[in-house]
Amino acid sequence: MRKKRPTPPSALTDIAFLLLLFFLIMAITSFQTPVPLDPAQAQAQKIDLSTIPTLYIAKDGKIYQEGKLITIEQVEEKPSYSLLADRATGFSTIHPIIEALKNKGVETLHLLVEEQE
Amino acid sequence: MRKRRELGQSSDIAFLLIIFFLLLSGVTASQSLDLNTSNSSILVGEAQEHLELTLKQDETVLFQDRVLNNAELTPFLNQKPHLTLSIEAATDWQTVVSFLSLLEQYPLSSLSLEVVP
Repeated sequence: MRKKRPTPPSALTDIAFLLLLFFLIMAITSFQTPVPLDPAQAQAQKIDLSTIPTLYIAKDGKIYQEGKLITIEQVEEKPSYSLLADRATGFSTIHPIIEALKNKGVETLHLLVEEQE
Repeated sequence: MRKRRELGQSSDIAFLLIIFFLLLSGVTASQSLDLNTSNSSILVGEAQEHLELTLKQDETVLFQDRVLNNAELTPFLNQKPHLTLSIEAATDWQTVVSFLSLLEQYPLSSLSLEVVP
């Protein structure tokens, strides 16, 4: 019977490191916004986004959800949404969206911001 | 000697996994300002004061056509008012978010956002 060759000790670390890189890249790519957005900056509390659906509002008022362009009518009725808009977007663009979400029964809107520098 | 090397391997993997979960939690958590849309309508006949402020696009805040600074705003906002915030249509989202961040420090009974030309 042939003697089994011992596994090099660095092999497991290499695999773990590659797995780490893979999941990191996956996490970062899934977090990217569908349109280039420069979020507003403010002091705010931290929230966990994993359970709250996010709407992205482009400068021209177009709404994106999960990478797809949607209309306000297509937004599902849910108690809370998080909303990420470009800092340069005019309030006249965002206000009708907030009102429409309110009419759809959305009780809490999490206005996503970037940490103030 | 061999046992010590194996111990080092598992601690390396554990360390990499800790870094992975740390980074992942940083990606999914975000900062937000919460806007409660359910209490944004004004209830008639309530004892609290009804306050109307106007936020202009140059970041100034008007109360009855008079410009108020942050220190002058404090006594009004500490009275738990029903606040109606009229925001000029051309005001950018950054200005709105900065003011909403300031308002979070005060005990408002309700907040209603309106857009004015």
